Amino acid sequence: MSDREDLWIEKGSEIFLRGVRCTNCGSILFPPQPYGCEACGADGGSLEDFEFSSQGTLHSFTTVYVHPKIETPYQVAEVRTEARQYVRARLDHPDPKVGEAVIGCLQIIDDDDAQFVFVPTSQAGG
Amino acid sequence: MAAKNILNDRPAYVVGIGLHRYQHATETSYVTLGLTAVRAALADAAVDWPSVETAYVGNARIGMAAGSTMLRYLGPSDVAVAQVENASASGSTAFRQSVHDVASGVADVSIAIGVDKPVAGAGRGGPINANVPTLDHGLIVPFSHFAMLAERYMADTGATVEQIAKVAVKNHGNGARNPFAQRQKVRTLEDVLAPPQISGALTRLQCTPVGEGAAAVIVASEDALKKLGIDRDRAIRVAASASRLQEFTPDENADAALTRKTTFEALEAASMSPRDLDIIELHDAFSIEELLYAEAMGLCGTGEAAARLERGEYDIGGKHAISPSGGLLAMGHPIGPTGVGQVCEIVRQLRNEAGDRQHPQAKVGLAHMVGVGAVCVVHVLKR
Repeated sequence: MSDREDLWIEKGSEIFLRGVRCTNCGSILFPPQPYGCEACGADGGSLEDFEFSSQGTLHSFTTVYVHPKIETPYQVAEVRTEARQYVRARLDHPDPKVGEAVIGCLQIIDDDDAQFVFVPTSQAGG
Repeated sequence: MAAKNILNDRPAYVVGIGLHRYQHATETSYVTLGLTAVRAALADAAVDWPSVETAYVGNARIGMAAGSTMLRYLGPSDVAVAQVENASASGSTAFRQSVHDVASGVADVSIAIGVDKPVAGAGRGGPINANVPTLDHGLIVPFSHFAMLAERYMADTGATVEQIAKVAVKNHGNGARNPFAQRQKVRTLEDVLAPPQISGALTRLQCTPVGEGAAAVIVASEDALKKLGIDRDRAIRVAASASRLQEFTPDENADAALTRKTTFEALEAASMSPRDLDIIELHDAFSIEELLYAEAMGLCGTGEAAARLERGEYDIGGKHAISPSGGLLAMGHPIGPTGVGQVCEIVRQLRNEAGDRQHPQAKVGLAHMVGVGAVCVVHVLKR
């Protein structure tokens, strides 16, 4: 996976996601890619960079107990953002429930670089 | 927008089936696995190898030219061979090619084979090589995708962890009666819910074992039945074939939408409705999938599948027998063979040759696979 840090950007105190928007049909697509619009078929030239809020609601989540390379257990989430786009990433939530409000933040995981993680909106540091 | 069903004009029949048991990976060569299934299918059809005009070999893990390498050991023939890769639907897609060869008149006899096993040095797949970045850092694996679907299903329908686990209880029970199944043990609800926990509600026994094995089916035309003297009573007609690529559906569960569209395309082509289905072999790689797909296929209303399964409607002898083979959960999922193996089970059931796992009066069967991409392939067979 190339350049994961290109997928988000800090804007003030909030983390925005970087996707693409189709100039032909208006669909917002994430992750970004240069190949074409899945919604209408327009070619890659019709896809322009588009930043959108990482705020959304928990569409679903799970705890993973088994992984060949990553320390377990950990949580992952599928979040429906305000831009109507589904985004999957790590989740850090003490008691997640479908439909709850979450937002992206940056966390250092295993002494690695900063990772994008969804957390409860109520707990997001100002 | 269902296209004209070529199978109405030129019938295609499955006339032979053969399997190598699905099992944990061993030292056995894929050639041995595959030829065991091919020879069994030829013997079942009472057809010799030189009568087979085209061959499609479905696999995703054993590398380039495995199909042609294997088939040379059957001796001289004029067969045209191609290897077919379509992720978990590789075998289903090989079958579709054979069916279309026969229905279009390109061949009177074709064989669809699935053979696979884990081998060292398998390359990275297309999704990785497309170099589309993701945020998930490798955190999302197949079982976590389906564990999330399970969580969402429980939130939407009120179904419980125990109800989802009962899918596995049923399918392990069916697999216990199938000599070709990788898992042949009856399991109680307690067994299925026992650790190890894999992800969310899913325990080990609610996840498919991916090992090795092989399956083969011989497809023949009306002319071939006459010319080769094939037993008509054991020939099972292919009523429809459908294959779809997942579409962008921002407002609907993409897995369910893909299965719904592909299933209804096939049912319409066969002029049938969900209630006509006696046997359904579906992609139950994870227990939750059976409930999602039963609803998507229209066997029941949204949110009803868990309760119906609990009442026995999907048991052998129930309203629809779902995965009488044991399904991916118990028969196993060696990848390439799986879709062909589903056809073997349906043919066995429709011939009334399934022994102690026979569903009474089985006349119509549906085979359903999904694969990474995502793709969905559905076939309807009838007696």
